[in-house]
Amino acid sequence: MRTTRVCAVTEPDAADIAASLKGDGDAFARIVRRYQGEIATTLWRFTRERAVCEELVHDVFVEAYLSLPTYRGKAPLLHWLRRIATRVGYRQWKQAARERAHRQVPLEEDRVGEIPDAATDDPQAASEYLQGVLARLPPRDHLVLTLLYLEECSVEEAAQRTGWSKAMVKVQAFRARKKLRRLLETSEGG
Amino acid sequence: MDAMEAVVKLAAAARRESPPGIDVSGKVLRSLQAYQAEKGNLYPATLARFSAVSFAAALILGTVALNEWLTLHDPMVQLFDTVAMVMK
Repeated sequence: MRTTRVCAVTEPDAADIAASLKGDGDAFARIVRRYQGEIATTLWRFTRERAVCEELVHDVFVEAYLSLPTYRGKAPLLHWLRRIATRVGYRQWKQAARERAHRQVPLEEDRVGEIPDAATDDPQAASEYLQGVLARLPPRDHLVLTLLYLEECSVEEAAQRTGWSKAMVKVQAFRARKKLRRLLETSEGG
Repeated sequence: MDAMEAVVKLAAAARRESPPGIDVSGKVLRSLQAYQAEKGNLYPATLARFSAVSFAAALILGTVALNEWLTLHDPMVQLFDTVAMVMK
């Protein structure tokens, strides 16, 4: 039986990956320039600080270069980079959560304000508010809701990005939504 | 409005936001060059250590194997074995 193998990698990517593996720095710089905008968009959901975002994008591409020999080309390069970006962003949240726990932030500081009226029309205000609220959840809940709402991933895509099973994503999303609802309703109640 | 409905609306608005322009290509290349330079300095030392340990292990194994081989093929050993049996 004949099988046709579908290659998910575009021609310029394939050429640049092959050249990068042979040590061509310019080829890898082309990959960085091609995808850094998309990776920055993903990581902008993980932090709203420009310097931190830049550092995370840098880490993603360094990690990508070091793992390039393991890239099999079964998915487009951008999907693979986004998976690395999710891992890098999540690691940053876990580190921040550990630091917060260490500092023992009091509950008063952890209160959510009411949804600003203009937030649903203003992308920046909406982003700031929503990311601020989600940041009050534990990193796993934060991650699953960021992928489902802000990155608009399907359950399958979220599973691929996190490395969790689809069932795990559904369970985690159910628990996270419950916590988020409680958090928002508490803030509405004063 | 239900809290989760509000979240869906906020998320739709948030997705329209563009992140700040970022160019990390130069920084990434500098990091990789530094990493490779470091790796280049570390690699021969690790390789030398590994080679020395491997050589020592091979030398011991070779000496033992040669000793066994010479003993096996020495006809006098069998002769002395027979003599020892008769003496018993």
